[in-house]
Amino acid sequence: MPRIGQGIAKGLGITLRHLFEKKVTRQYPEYRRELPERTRGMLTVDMDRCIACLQCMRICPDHCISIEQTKRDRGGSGKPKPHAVGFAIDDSRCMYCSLCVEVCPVNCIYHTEEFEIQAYNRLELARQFGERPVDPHPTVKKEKRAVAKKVPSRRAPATEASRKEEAA
Amino acid sequence: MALEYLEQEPWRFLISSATVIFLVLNIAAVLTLAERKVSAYIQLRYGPNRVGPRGLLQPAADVIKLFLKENVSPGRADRWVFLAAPIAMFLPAAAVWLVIPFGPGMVVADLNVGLVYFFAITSIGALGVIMAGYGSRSNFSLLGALRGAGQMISYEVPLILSLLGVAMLTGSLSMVDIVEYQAGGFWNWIIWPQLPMFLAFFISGLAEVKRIPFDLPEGESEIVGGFMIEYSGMTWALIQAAEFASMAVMSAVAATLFLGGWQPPLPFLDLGVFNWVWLGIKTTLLIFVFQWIRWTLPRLRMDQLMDLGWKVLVPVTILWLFVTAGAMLVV
Repeated sequence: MPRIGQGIAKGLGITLRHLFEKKVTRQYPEYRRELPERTRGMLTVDMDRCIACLQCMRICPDHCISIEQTKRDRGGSGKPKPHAVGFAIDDSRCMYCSLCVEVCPVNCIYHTEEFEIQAYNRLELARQFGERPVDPHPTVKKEKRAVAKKVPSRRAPATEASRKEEAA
Repeated sequence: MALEYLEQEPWRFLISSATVIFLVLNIAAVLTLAERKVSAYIQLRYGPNRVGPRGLLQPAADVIKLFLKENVSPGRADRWVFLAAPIAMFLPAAAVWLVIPFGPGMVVADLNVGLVYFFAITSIGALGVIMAGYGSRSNFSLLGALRGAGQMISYEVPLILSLLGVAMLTGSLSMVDIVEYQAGGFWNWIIWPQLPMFLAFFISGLAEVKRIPFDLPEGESEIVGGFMIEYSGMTWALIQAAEFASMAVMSAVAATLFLGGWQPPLPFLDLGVFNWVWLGIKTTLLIFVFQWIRWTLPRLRMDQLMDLGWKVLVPVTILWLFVTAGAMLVV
């Protein structure tokens, strides 16, 4: 007996069986599955702990973090330390690589479990954390200049704060 | 009654053919949902279930979306041919319904050459494919159209041959007579003496309506849509509607010719005027088989397609024609 159509019959049987099987779809907005422990959701910053070391900003491959740095005496030790007055994370650029989280010395930037973000405008996707907003989309050239200005080398002329300190 | 003049000839024909066109358009819309639902259930998904209860209003949403879309045509396209092709594909699928009896006395036109009409009209579908491929002036379209022409013309032969047995048994080419012949229960249906012919008709019907094991003209994995690659908006929707409508028409013809049409499967299930329910059930089952096959089998290669048509279906149908003739002589 030649086996004409046996493979076809077998395939049709499988599809017919699947037709009545339980479906595996998860109905997303109503049903949310539990996220894994180390989910990389949207980033957030704990501004109280941030020491404005700018390491996250430098390591970010997408340039999605923008920080405006000044010096301020936060701890009351009489010694001004770097302080981030502006901190912006642009979620339209972030690729959730987690490099900034790894590099942060005080663990102040971390992933949340939020992953639903939407906006009508790309600029709306940039979230501000600091006291005053920062331009989240600096051009690369501008960024370089900004970094050079904001991170004074040891020889660079002192900022206003340090000058005051010297005078005192 | 005052409305009796509606049963007079011009009005009766106009109203019933308008009804048929309405029916065909709606069938096409409903089948888009059915197709997606069947495919989803076979793939362990739910399919569209957001618009309306269980997704039942999805076709309406689709139609609204398609109406709002722009019709883009290639700059160098042969515009008249390009725009006429979807109509040339859709109208034959709608016109075949005119000869299908929906119930006792419920037929738009009882042609005494109904079968010949069916052959003639279905072969116009190939013309639509060629027009679409030629009018688009795109290489992929032309390739798809050439494949479609080769396929549809070569499968026309077994399609016609497989229905000759029916014509021989019933001694008539009228669909109404063929349905009358099968009265009295499912054991009187023509499918039993003509089982190989029914399979051949079904396979060549699959090829004729370009469904999946034979969807070479479309060939979405190699020629990305074939003859319909350049269509968008409502012209594309009309081509899709034509495909679904011709699938429905092929199922309805198969149900009429082989499965007894509107005849109930058992004599006591006779519903009188509502016998069209039986035609509906049989057609629906056949459409489901079409969809079931689509989501199971992979596409044939061009040479396999031609082999199946000319080396298997044509000899089998001719052989069974002789068997039928011999049996009619003896019995």
